[in-house]
Amino acid sequence: MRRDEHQTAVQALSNGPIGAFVIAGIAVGLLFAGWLAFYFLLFLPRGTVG
Amino acid sequence: MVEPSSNPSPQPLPDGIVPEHVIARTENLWLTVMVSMLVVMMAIIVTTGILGALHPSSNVEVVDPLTLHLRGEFVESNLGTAIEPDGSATVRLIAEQYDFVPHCVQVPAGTPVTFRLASADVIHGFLLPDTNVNAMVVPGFVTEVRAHFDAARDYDMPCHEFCGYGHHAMWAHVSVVPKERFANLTPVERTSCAP
Repeated sequence: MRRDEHQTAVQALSNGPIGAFVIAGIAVGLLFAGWLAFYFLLFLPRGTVG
Repeated sequence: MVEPSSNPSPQPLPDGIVPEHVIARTENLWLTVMVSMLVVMMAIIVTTGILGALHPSSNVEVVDPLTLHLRGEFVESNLGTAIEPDGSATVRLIAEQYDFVPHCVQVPAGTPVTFRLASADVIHGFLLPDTNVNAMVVPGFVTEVRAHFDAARDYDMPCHEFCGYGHHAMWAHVSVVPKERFANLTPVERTSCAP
């Protein structure tokens, strides 16, 4: 790895993997929103069976 | 250090390029997010359970599968839909390889309906699509599930527990009809979907 590439990588990652956080956050956020939507908009309105 | 070239191949980043404290902070933050999500989901499930909005079918009642057809509530003449004194409906069904008996039942709309099922042989499944009705029918036990249908509609009722080579063909039907029309049906018509 060239010195300037190394410095660029060090600079980009000095505050942590922000980009990975954003992507993972969007994916997990969609999953969580989907769970909430299924639970409150589909499962509960169908009523109890027990 | 790699010498510069016109077409440098990708090289992995060396270990230690991200400071240790940044890695620890990142992991702690992500762990916090995950635990928070689990806490919120569990809190929702427990809260709705305590408030009565969420109850799994939990009836425990035994029945002898060898004598279903001889005595008790699952004799042939007692199968199908019955109207109780309080106006609710009770549907009694037997699940057996590879059909439900009766093959089709009619129930009134806008009425509390209690399904009671018993298996004559192996474990079967009881499922009404687009509802929360979803239970196993275990031989030796009575499966009881409550439902309420707001509007007239025909439901397919597949067995969804593998019960043998004919499992894929084990289907029955629940036909929800308007309450006024149901009142005019004879007991035999309540156990048939024939027009």
